[in-house]
Amino acid sequence: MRDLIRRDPARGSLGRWLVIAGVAAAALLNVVGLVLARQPDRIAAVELLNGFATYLVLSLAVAWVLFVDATGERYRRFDITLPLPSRRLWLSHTIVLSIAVVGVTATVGGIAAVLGWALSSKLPEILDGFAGQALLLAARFASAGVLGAVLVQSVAPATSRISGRRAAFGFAAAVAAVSAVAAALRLLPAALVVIPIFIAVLVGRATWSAVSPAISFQGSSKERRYAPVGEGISDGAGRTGIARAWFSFWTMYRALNKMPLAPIVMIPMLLAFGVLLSGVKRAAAGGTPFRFSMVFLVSYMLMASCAVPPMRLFLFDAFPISRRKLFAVSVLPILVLLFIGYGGGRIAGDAKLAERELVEYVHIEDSYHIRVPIEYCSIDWDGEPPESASPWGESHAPWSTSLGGITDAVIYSPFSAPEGSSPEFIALQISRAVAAVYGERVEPESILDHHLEVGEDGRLVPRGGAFSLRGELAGVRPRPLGPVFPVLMLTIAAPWLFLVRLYYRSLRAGISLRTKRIVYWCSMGLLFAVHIAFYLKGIASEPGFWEGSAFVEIVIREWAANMPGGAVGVWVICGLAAFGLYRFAEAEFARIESNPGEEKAMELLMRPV
Amino acid sequence: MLIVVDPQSGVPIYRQLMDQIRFHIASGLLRPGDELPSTRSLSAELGVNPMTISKAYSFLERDAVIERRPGRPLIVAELAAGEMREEKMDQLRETLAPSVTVIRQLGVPREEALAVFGEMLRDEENDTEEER
Amino acid sequence: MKKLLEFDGVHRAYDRGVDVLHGVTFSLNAKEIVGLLGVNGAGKTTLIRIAMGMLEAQSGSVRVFGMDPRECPVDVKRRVGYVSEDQILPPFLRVRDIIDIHRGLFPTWDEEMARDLASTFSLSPEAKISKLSKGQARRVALVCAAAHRPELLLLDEPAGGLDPAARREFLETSIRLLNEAGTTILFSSHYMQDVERVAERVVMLHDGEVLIDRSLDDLREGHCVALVPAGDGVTKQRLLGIEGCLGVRERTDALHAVFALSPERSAAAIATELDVSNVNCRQVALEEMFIELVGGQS
Repeated sequence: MRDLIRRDPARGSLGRWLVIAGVAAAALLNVVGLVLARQPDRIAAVELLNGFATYLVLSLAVAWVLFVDATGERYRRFDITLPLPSRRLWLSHTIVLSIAVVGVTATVGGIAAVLGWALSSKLPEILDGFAGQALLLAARFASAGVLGAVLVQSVAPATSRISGRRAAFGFAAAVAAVSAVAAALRLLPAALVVIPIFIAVLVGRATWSAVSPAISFQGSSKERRYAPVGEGISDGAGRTGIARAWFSFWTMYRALNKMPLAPIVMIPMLLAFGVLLSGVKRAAAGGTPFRFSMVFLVSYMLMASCAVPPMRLFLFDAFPISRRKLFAVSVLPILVLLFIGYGGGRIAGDAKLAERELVEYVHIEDSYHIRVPIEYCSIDWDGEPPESASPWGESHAPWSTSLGGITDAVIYSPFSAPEGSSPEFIALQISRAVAAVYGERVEPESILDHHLEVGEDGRLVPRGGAFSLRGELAGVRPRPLGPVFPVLMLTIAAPWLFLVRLYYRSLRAGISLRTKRIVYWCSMGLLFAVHIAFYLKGIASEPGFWEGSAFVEIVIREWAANMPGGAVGVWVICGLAAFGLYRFAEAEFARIESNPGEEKAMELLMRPV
Repeated sequence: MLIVVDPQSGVPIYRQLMDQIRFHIASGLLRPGDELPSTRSLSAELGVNPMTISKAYSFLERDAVIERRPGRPLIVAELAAGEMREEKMDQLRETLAPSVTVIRQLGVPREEALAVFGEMLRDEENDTEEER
Repeated sequence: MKKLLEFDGVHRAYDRGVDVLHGVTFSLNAKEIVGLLGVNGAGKTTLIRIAMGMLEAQSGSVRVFGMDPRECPVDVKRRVGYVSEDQILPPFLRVRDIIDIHRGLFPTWDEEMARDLASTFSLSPEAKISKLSKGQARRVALVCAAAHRPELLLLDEPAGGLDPAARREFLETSIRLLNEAGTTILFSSHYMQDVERVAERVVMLHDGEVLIDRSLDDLREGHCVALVPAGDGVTKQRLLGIEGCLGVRERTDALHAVFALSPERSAAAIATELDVSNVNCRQVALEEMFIELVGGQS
């Protein structure tokens, strides 16, 4: 039995599942980390673990495992020809599938739990009980997932491959069961988490006894409706222009990628990442910018999308199609999707941004503060920000935040007015803030007269309860924050293209499969580890580490301001650098030696062990 | 044209072609003046390299068995009665040569061998007559 | 005469010093049909892949139409047709789609020929490539490779696993291309009858080197196999020492030797050198010669 398990076709998908587990864990941590970073709105992280977002992430992860299996080969042809009872084959595959589901959920939960446990001493009020809850969450999904696995296996149990309607039905039923059961378990005491497993065993037992003694080998469904011989060969000779170009592109894309999985997975994922990277959430609802902290995760996903196409180049060996074209087909659609997501997010974000008040005078923790989005602040590289001064000599130390110990530099707000500032000073600072953020001049006297008044305790408070400059600033858009897009994309592309070039270099005939695997998985592991490390540091250090992304954005803004050519200059430099990197990877792609025999071995490449 | 090529026989293909064409001429299947198929069409029909056909044809031409006319297909040459007879005898000798070797290897004396041969010829004639 | 394909000292190794090709040098002239022979693993597929630019020659050079197939892959491939036993066509395409792709990629596409070949091979345009049998898929590949009237046709065991009728179709199509389009053909095959029918020259690879590069007629008529009965003084070494001996294979009661001499001269040479007279020397078909040659290398 152990032998069967080792040979099980599902094991070939192990690599893909690890990628999924990695992404799910990262997504989970992103969710948790982002919320944690929103100060002072600290909520218990534990609540997040029971929230919709985490349930969605984990459901998707489990669904993915089940989908891949439902559409793949369940029993190997080799094993079917052996004198083995069909029940044993069924059982071994069910076991492997269950292990896969449990493995993915355990990985996700485990990573979260370990981090939570390690950091709970530093952030007790946030992470209290996090580790335990994370494990419980994983356990719920694992147990629901096992039930899902048994359900998928109960559809046509004695067929080596299910396809078409049956596969879709089985998969849908299994996923619905998983989500519903996991949600239901939330409402039950923790000890009852094993109930789905009991159900799974019962269902499994019933199926197991009902499995027919002979496993039918199913290649793929046969369709025999052919046109008369010879006719129709010349159809399509009329394809010209755009139709032909699209046909060429689509054929190349389909040949190089695993269809239909590739577009189904890639399109939403890349669009989603594009939207996230555009900072739309921040534009709409405030909070800390985090775009640059996602860079390595996106590189990791891009690297994962690049694994398959180079191994399929043998399909084009006899065609006079240049490698440059093929490289473009494998890389550019990914980037285009990312850009589209980004663009969409920017458009939506800008619209939201125009509605919000970016210069605020708000009550936080006993006093009033002038608040501007952190990207409009400045940086002092020595850690000693200059005092904000006024023409009449009054000056105060500015609000500042350090970056969690990496560097001495601090971000400081030149527009802050601490406790003890005079009303004139406050008004002056607000005026300066408006000038910096909106580029409009609103006189301090005007602010003081119309928007502020002295309250009961002698402090300056907003007139009419809430501070709003909408009257003066109707229809005015905030000043742009500098060319973040090119720098962001360059920082994503750089590690990706470097590592992908290394991967391409390993794809030569004569280099052992083991080496190829090592190169690929070490690159993926490196990107992922850097990403996780970043989050570890973030959770562990003083608040302020999360300002790192904002720090980068401010640097970009100042760089563009100081550069000859300004923002355009930044675009040009980043564009040239990106182009250079593209050619750099393309050159190595052109020299790949692809072997049809390794198409099967490609499955093995996706196994890290 | 009724030609069969056996790539396994040990005899080069061009030789097989030559021999079979000669035999057809000697046995009257190909008469003087009959056109021979072009190199291309024969090569396509037999699945054989056209250069091989070419070679066979040029050897046959050299031996004056076939004739080349400018701009027209090759034809079987006109052979005088004496030349035709000689051709038939050559064919006969070629066919008998292996049998002679076998007879010697088996150690059968000449008279017995000749008697067997005569008997076989007579039987063949009788069979043919009966069929008529 | 113009050389269409030239290999010059081509080296290719896979793992750590295991040479697959060890200085292979030969070339093809226009309109030649050359058969590439060798045992499995002799490097025939590697050599053809190098000619197609799919693999890199680690040292030495390869020139197709005077160009390096790694440097100018598109220009080379436009004029070359390629069919291989282990070729994989995009399985999701239909037959007419893949023909359409080729139509668009090759400027010398001949629609008449494509239609004619497709109908000769009984191809169904709507069929999905993944559902075709091996023979049908190979025929599709042949139509795609032949219909653009390539100047050079590279066939890597094209008839592997096919029934005799399909094999014959391959031969006839190759001949047709030669006749109608003047195509030069390099094909590797294990079917010696096919090689005998169609090749005018034979190149045999062994241990990564060119063992034989001769015209087929010369190989058949200028070579023979000698069966030397075992006995005193009859050793492999002594036979190999005779000039003209290419290989010796030891069997139970005799040694089989291949000579680059006529049967009479071989018999004479053996008689002189080894003082044996009951030697059987004869001309043999290519298959037997191949077996003796390959088995007779130490």
